[in-house]
Amino acid sequence: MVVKVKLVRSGGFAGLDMVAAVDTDDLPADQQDVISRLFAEDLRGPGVSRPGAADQFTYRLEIHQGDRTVKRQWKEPEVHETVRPLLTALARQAKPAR
Amino acid sequence: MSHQPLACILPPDLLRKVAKQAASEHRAPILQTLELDRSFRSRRTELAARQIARPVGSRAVAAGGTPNRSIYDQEHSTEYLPGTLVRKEGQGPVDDVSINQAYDGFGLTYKLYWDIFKRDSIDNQGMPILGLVHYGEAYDNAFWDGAGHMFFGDGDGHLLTDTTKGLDVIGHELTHGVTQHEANLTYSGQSGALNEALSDVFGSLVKQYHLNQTAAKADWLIGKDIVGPELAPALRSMKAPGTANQYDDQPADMDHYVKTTKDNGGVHTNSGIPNHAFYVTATTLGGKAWKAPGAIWYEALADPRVKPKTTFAQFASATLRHARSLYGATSKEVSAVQAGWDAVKVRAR
Repeated sequence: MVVKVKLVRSGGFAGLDMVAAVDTDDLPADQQDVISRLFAEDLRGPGVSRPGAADQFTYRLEIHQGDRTVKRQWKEPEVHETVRPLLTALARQAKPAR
Repeated sequence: MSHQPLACILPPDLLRKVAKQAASEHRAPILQTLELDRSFRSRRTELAARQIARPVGSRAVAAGGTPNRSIYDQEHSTEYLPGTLVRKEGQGPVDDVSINQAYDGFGLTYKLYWDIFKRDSIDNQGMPILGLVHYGEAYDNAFWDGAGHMFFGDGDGHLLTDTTKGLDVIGHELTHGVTQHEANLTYSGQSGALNEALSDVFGSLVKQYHLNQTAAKADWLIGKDIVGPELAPALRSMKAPGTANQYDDQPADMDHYVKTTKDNGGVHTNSGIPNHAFYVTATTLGGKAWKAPGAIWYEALADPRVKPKTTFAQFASATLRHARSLYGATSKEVSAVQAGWDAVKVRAR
């Protein structure tokens, strides 16, 4: 079954929304594995976004499989180390939202 | 307290007694002095009450005037703890240009706050200024972490370039620290947009002060020195919100305030409104924007009555109040502040 993911990275100093939407078939195997894990569990790193923090990114990831959708969201310090390469790779493909 | 104390000759009680008996033409200046005096005393009390933990390595200083900078190389990791210390206060330039640019930018930001506002670093108590450079891989951002650190990405060369190059960017991020220690504006909705605008305002003043530019000569662009071709010529414009680049969606007045759930309620979008108010105030007055406009905005930011959930209108009223205190109720400064908020359709009383 085709799995689609959509990343929206918002905030940051530029305040620009960056959007990437891909089929997981187009991703390397290791990134597909991370998506499978995220579909089942909310992977979060140990970091917390502190009061007073500013201009950090927020990442929203939607994973669609058939009629099921899972949504995950992280502020920058909360990103799990196994998820980071996926978000970085998706962000590289992202385009500014108009 | 490390900042310079303010010692007054005439106590407030004496001033009040004199004001009661004074002829009407002499009463107004006395009342103005009392209001100024009251604002200084309130701020001193509030400063004493605001005790926030200082980072490890901070030192007690007898008097301000010198920053305490430390610049670390994160070596492209996304670790939050400081990496390798490359340049500390007083050391000369190193081979890494980004390290040197961060160091110099911190020094120039400290210099504006000390020279003009007599503020000793971010917390007004000589807090160390810590920069973490080369965060992440081709990371398109710079940010303040709320724990005393500014992080810098190298940019991907398309959206952004090396973020240490932007003096206004550095001033912007360190001002988030100042705001955290003063009004502590909540980073969402109107208070969040105000938080963002104050960082754009003082970030711009750092740059204008360094270049000795008048308000008329300044370009009032944010991020011009760090944008790549996709976001050229700049990230934001205080002079003409919404025109800085092809994606710029900033409004220039309250009729166009953007209601959204993205970006904490559009804090980088709606900051265009108070940004433009400051631009209009500064260019209406003329001269150097870090003088009267900067003083008014700084006093408002440091006013204990400006609370974390302050709205645009409440902050506007604070700027008017301080303009009256500093320059007189019928001054051209008060007129310029009113003009600024009128231009963006924010009600200020």
